[in-house]
Amino acid sequence: MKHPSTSLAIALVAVAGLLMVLSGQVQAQITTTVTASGTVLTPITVTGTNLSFGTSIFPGINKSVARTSADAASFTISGEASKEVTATFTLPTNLVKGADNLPISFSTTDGGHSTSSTGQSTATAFDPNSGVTTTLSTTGNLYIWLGGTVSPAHNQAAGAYTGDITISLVYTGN
Amino acid sequence: MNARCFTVFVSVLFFGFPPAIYTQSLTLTGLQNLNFGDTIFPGINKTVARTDGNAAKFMISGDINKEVRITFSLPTVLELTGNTMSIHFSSTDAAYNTLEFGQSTATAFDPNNAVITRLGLDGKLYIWLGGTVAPTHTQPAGTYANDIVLEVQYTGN
Repeated sequence: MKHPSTSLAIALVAVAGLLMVLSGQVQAQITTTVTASGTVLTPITVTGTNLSFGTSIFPGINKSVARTSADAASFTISGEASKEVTATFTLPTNLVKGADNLPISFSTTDGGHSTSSTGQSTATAFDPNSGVTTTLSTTGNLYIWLGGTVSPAHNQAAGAYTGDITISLVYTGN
Repeated sequence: MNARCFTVFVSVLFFGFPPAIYTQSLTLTGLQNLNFGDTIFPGINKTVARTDGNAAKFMISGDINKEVRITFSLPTVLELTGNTMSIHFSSTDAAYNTLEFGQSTATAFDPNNAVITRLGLDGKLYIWLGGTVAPTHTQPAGTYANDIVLEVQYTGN
């Protein structure tokens, strides 16, 4: 037979345990979940063809390629229909052949843009040195053309010169 | 009561008893999702303010004027099959108020850390949560989503 004080101790411990359980129940963590969501529009993609000054650049004679020429650089851009984009260029100041430089420049009307792939001759002119902000077509397309001028010196070393032209396109958010 | 029994009694009295026993359960309801909409431009961050109509909204219901600890489990990305888009929450992107329509004047808090506050005199507390998604320039198109979990418990005060 248990001593009365032992029984009391067991009872107190049991009560304490019960109270702790109850306490645990009312202080238990509760959770709920909601969703964060959002829809991303079509990212911009761009492909390009080169700006070609041909194989007959005479030393001492500038040579230009118009933005409407078949030798102009062309860029085909696609993205979300009817959204506004900004196009900017990183333009070279020289074409390079080894240690030799051939100066190249771009006038304020050497860029042209159109929402039609066949719109080169009627494209809207812009200054490629400052870029342009315009709107993609209702099918999400934009076409850009770029001409330029090379200025060889009278003693320009013969050979093929090249340089990179980089176009960057971003959405404006409009 | 002998010494042994007294020791047990004191232990229970001072260490075993809970600080309080609550008679009403604590309930938590997600009233609204956090919605960044259907016009997220690749390369442009988009923010939903905690005061915006598209912010997430929660309601806590429990004992009048009792203290609760509020903790979020927040995602770092939203997901679309095989793709992720970053999401983050600033130190003022969450807010609470005992008034259901007190979103604009709610008290701001950092959802990245737990906060302790009290339920209202009607036993209610409302929480709002904003955030910012950061799509890359090449973020694939589509609808991204993930869970935001809110956890609430009484502090005992």
